[in-house]
Amino acid sequence: MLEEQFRAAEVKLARTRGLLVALALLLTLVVLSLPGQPLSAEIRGAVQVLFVVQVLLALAVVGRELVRITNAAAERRALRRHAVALLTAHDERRKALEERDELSRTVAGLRALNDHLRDELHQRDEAVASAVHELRNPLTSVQAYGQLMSRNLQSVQRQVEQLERLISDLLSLPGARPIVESEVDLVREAREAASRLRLLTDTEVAVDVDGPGPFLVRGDPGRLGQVLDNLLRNAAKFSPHDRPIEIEVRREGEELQLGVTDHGSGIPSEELTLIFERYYRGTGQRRDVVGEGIGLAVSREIVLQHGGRIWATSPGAGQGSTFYIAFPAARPLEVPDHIPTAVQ
Amino acid sequence: MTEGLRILTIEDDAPTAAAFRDALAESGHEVRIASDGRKALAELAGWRPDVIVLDLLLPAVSGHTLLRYLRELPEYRQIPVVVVSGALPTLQQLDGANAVLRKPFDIRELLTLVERLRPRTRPN
Repeated sequence: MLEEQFRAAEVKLARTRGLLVALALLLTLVVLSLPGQPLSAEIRGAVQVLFVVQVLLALAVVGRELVRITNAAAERRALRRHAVALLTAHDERRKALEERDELSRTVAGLRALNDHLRDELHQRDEAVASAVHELRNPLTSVQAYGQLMSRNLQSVQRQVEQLERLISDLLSLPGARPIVESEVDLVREAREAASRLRLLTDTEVAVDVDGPGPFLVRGDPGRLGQVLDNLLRNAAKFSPHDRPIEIEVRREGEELQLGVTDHGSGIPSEELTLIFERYYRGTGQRRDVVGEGIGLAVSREIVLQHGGRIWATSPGAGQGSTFYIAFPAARPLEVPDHIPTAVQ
Repeated sequence: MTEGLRILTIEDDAPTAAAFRDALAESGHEVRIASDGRKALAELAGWRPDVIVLDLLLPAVSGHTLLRYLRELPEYRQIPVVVVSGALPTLQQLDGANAVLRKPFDIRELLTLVERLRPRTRPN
């Protein structure tokens, strides 16, 4: 701003100076051409010198103006170039800005789309979660009925097994099947019979072996297993569900004994021998329990066929009972080669 | 022979409620069903169960609200409650419950649970 004002003042000054020089020239010419008495040679000489000086001055002024004009033109060209450069830069910047705006609009659009998709996804997730929840109810009832059915099937299965046992017991008349002679491990048979009972009734059976083995007897493993099954089923029938049945195997001299103890209702002393009679059902509380009444009789037949003994003991009503079977040992007691001597 | 329990099943899904009832009844329990919280309260007014089986998601009065209500009233406070839920319940929702089963579950678990929650003596 200040520069412009200064420049304007300078232009005005140059014009004024040019005007003054022109006026001086004009005045000199007028003086020289004035009619009248001729001027003296000195004056004429001075005027001529002055004229020459004035012409030179005028030339200087013109020259200076010419230089100024040339400079101004150059400046204008430079300015124009500058302006063009500026405009170009501006244009580019504007274009960049426009592009940026375009990009922001695209980004905003994408964001909106993203939000929309996320909402949709969320809604779908919720719908799936809700559907899954809805599925849990029918699944619960189907599963429950499935289990009820399977339990009913199990009880049908149990009834079938019981019928099967009844039939096999009825068929087990003396001499109906030959005794297969082999060595039978009473402990192993007891454990297997215990497993069979557990599978059938969920009743806990503890097998206790008293003293060193072997506990081998001669006989038919199938039929001895049948005796054990009968004794265990009998015990499970009369024993409370939460009390375990105990099996104890021990050696008494040349005899191997196996006892099955239950914690049931017990047996009155007068019935202790009657219960081994075929179809005897007992009295008192034992009548409440469903039973075929031949299991013990069949067991006695089998035990006798093996040269063994069978008997029952009971401390009294409500105090449980123990059923024993005893057979001659197939092998003598194994005495270890090296008996450790007690240290005093 | 153990005595059957009186069990109130509060469950809005009819087949599920029926399955609970059949399974519990087969084990010798007496079962009544209420399909929502209001009906449960109506049932409780004239009949005292030994155990309550409660679904959390119920129409009208939610299972959680009902549970809180039961726990605030002295006459119902002692009744054990088994919560059954399809969704995983929050700890807050389970506040006051004696046991929780997530659907679907083994029905034997419910039978075992109600046995375990059997009151020592039944108040009459």
